[in-house]
Amino acid sequence: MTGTLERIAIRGRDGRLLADAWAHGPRTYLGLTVAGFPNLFTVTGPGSPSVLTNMIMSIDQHIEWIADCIAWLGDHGRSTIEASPEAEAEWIAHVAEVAAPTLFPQANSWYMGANVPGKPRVFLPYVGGFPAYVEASNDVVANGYRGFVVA
Amino acid sequence: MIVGAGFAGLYMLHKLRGLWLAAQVIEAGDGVGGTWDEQTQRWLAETDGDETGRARATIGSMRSFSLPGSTR
Repeated sequence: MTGTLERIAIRGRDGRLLADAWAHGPRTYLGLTVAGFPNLFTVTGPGSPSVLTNMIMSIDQHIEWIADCIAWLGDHGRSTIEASPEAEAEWIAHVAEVAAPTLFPQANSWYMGANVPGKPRVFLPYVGGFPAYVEASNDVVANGYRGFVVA
Repeated sequence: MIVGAGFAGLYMLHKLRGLWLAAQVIEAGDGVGGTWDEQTQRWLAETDGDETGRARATIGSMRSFSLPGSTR
């Protein structure tokens, strides 16, 4: 779930590698953006419903969110968007919180990254359900891209 | 810059073109389809292309079209 992204030398601010930023487990805001990595969108990334939904549906929703975001940035004369570390931390906590009452985090599954030896055990997908996720990500937009630094 | 020419990359390209934005798609495989195509080929190989393999490989038909603006 993270391997594809970590195998690419994605560099953010100060030349930081995404693989290094995620050394202790992936950190995202909405499973879609990463603090310190402006204008990077991780489609169906860790922290989004991704594999717990029909993938096509999740891809569809993310791509449309991103396209709307890019159009919005252009309309407002802005050129960068980046998750704030606070919003990212809040989202990660929320992802863990909704997973906690379920059996998902108890199992040695690839949802926990348990299939990769040495990989940090972090519950990867958002288990709150697709409708709740869509509502949360639309709510961010409705509130002027809350949790993002736009410049 | 769009990384991957699977469903997500191709739809992203389509949306960006709709916004009249220039975009480049890069793909590690030798055609469009991304991981979907890669897994299709693996399933086909594992099943020797039998009925199950072919059914799973329906998605492989993505290989048969190319999109202007996508690069390998």
